[in-house]
Amino acid sequence: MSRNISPILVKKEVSFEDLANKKLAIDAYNTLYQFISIIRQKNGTSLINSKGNITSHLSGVFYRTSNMLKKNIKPVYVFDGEPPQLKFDTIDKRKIIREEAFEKYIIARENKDFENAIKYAQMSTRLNHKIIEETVILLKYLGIPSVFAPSEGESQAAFMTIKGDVDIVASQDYDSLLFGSTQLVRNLAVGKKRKLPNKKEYVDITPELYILNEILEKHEIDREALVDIAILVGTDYNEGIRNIGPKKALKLIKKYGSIEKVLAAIGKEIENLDDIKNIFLHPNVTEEYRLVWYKPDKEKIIEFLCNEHDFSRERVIKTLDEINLSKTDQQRTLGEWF
Amino acid sequence: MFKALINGDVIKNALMGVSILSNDVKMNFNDEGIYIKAVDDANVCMVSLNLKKDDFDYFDASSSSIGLNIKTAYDLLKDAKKGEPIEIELLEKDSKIKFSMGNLSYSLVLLNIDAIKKEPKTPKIDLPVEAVINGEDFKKAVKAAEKISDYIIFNADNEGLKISSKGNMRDMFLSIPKEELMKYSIKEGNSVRSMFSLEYVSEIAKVFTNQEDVELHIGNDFPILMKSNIAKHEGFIEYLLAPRVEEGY
Repeated sequence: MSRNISPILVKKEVSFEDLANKKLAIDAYNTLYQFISIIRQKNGTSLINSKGNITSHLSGVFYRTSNMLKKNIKPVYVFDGEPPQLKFDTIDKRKIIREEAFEKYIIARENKDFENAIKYAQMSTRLNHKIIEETVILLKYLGIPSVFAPSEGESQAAFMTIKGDVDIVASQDYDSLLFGSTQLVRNLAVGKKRKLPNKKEYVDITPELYILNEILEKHEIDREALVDIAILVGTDYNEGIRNIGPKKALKLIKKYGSIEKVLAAIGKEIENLDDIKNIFLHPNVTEEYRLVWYKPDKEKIIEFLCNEHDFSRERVIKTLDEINLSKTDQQRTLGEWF
Repeated sequence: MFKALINGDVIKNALMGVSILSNDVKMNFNDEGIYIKAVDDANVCMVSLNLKKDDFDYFDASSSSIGLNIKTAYDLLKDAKKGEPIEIELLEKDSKIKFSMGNLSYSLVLLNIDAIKKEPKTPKIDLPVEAVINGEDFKKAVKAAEKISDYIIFNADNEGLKISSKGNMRDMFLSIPKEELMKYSIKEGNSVRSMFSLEYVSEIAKVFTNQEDVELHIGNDFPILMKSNIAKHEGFIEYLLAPRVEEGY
């Protein structure tokens, strides 16, 4: 995830209802990572079935996707492919952090220090092949399309908005805006509260919508300039310049016109600058995807979630019933009778 | 001018009944009582609250209207003990309303009345069925429907009232023959069915009490009128809720 450029972004609070009838490209890795790290039992262990396998991702995907279908939102999950070579530095660092956190998690759990256990368990979260595979199976049963990006999922999702095949990208990460996503929505959780990292506090969260054009118009810049700003601050592919935050970067880019000129003026360099710009401006994406939504296959979902993964049959059935009904009726307003 | 004393449970319930739909409302007073009419942002449900002079232990008012954030007012009154009387007084000079309970008092700034959404007109609709059902039964039916799905269906024919909810895998069905209803009337030859979102009906059921009957006026794919007494004499709250209409049936 790139450094936080939110201070210069324009956001609107929206509700799930505002997203009705929209097609949403969901950054699958980003979302699954959240599910695996957040959906946990009180002692920090993930949800598991009777065979000892993790099911947090299935719970998250099933209930969040169902909630969207109930509101007539059409989701499509976009999965990452091979990360760009430049990202390996970031990936290596994340791996070390995860391994250290996992050791601390084991110690905290042995000491019955559940608060730290949860904290470190969340930090040690990783996605494996099985998690991805099971997610894809569940999505298929739910009738939701999956798209496999050749490289970054976010750039693929952004490309799909540019083409007009989907309306909005859903991710917690701002990068899709750099990739050109016309709209981005964050905080699409079913629940309304989120725990602050490393704190005991909970905050209310509401979905936030970012419209790329509004951001660019507000600052009178183009997307290339926004990418330049992000690179100055730091992305998954570079460290960023010390002491330059998003507001300062915006000022500098507006003053000098481009990142190259800014760097020359302040006497700094960014390694692989052209390649990094290229990742954002000309990402590796594919047009080979098909977006078709089918009716959820109830029997297969029940077999998969309840029989194989020990989900509550009653809850799953109730949720499926609700999806089905939302498709067949419409709320009228009193206006029709005035 | 407005000053009144009322049982805290009644006023709390009355304010809650409006606050489930609307935040900022116009509250009207005259020498007969107070009334509020509001509609939710989605224009799906309208509420009318009427408290009559006799519902108060003390009541003195001249005709006027104020702007009130009813959610905040309800939050403040939640602190009152069960059955505790609450005194309400309009502080016109300060543009505030004051609520006193025991030795605790709150005052709340009034809202600019021009900034409040206009009160809705009451649509003129003809609903062919009137059924009066015991409050406890109504609440029971809503609770049962909540277990099945997120909507509730009201059917009425010559035999009586049927309340149901339907899922693909299970159903809920409650039948009340007309003889068992407090009151039942249906226009000749009619059989009606309308479906409503529990998002609304569940909240409304919380406002109705077990002790008071609920008056239902039902049509075919038409809004439903649900009315119940909420005070000791004539005070009532009523909701007009737009239906959910099924497609492709």
